[in-house]
Amino acid sequence: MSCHDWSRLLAHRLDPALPKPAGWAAARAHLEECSPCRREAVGLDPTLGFSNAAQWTADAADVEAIRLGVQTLRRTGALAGSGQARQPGRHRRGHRRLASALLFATILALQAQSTALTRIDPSEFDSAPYGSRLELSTGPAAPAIEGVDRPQARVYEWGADDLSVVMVVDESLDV
Amino acid sequence: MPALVHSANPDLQQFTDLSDRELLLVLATGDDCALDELINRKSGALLQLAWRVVGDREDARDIVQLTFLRAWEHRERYNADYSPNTWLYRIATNLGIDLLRSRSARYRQSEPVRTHFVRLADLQRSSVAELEDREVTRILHELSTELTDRQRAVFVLREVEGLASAEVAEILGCRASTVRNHLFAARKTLRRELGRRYPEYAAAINRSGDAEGGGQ
Repeated sequence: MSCHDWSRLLAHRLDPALPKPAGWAAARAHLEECSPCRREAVGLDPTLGFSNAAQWTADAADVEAIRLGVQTLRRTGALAGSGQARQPGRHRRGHRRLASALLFATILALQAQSTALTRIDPSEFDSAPYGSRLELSTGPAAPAIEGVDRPQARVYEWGADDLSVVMVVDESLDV
Repeated sequence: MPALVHSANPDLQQFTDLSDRELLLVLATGDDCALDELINRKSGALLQLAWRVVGDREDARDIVQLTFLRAWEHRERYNADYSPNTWLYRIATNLGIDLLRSRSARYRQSEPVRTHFVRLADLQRSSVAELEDREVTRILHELSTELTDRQRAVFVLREVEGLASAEVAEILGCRASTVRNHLFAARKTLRRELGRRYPEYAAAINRSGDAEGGGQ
């Protein structure tokens, strides 16, 4: 690989109007092994230096974090429906309108019920027959809430005659 | 990337021998263990790609998680005629581009502060060689904010990841000629910004080239 070869190859990088020369694949492979040629090439076109950008070598902890993250997203249904709830920049106006409508409806419902949120001490659930789980109903397929026994969990209940809503808040959870 | 050599779950063990394409076909049937194996195999490559596109590790992690989630949700749409990597790269790249678009203004404003802290963190924990690599990466991330989102994605996929133009075109859902146009524009912008912001970078390369030039 000579200076002339590099000049011929790099001319195409600098001017797209020029025909694409043969030999780029071999030249790039050569660059990986020959530091003098690489230095010369990067001197002529500094953007070639970016192919040397640092690598992120993922370890087992990274993979496990990804796995847990995916599990959490699947469980919480963060992307349920459109699959774009966390995708930034899309349907933002629609989301805002929907959020406003939900907030308005919630306020109306709360005013109608005149029921305040009541804080419950998580320790109250320790003596429950289900241990760390709070059963919302008694049917065979009753949904359970996990995590009410977490040290930082705060549990709120909004009760009515025919409907009971329980909310568990734990700021240490990053979901 | 650690490979699975044993698992108490026999369902997970049986996937280790499958090719990527076969694995995605099993995934299409809704098998949770196939998703686990896919995460094992592809997290490393996707993390690196996402990091290079968006320039932030936490954002890259979010993107990779969303990529697997999106792959799961759309598992039945996978067409076995296409490369599994291309399919996953396409999802991850599009998520990265969306993220860049959403944060572009805010990110550019805070870039100097972010850069400062990233450099401080690097100085505290990196070896010299690693630091040089990180410096190149940092400069790339910084200059990349001058590129459009598509230009940035094309440059990373083509120049940094080393994919062929046809493959990049497939990932981004455009023509190869469009990829080339984006690539030329990206290189031009990066050269200009490199010379403007880091004249010492190119000068140092030229000096070291001159010093060893007689050896060629």
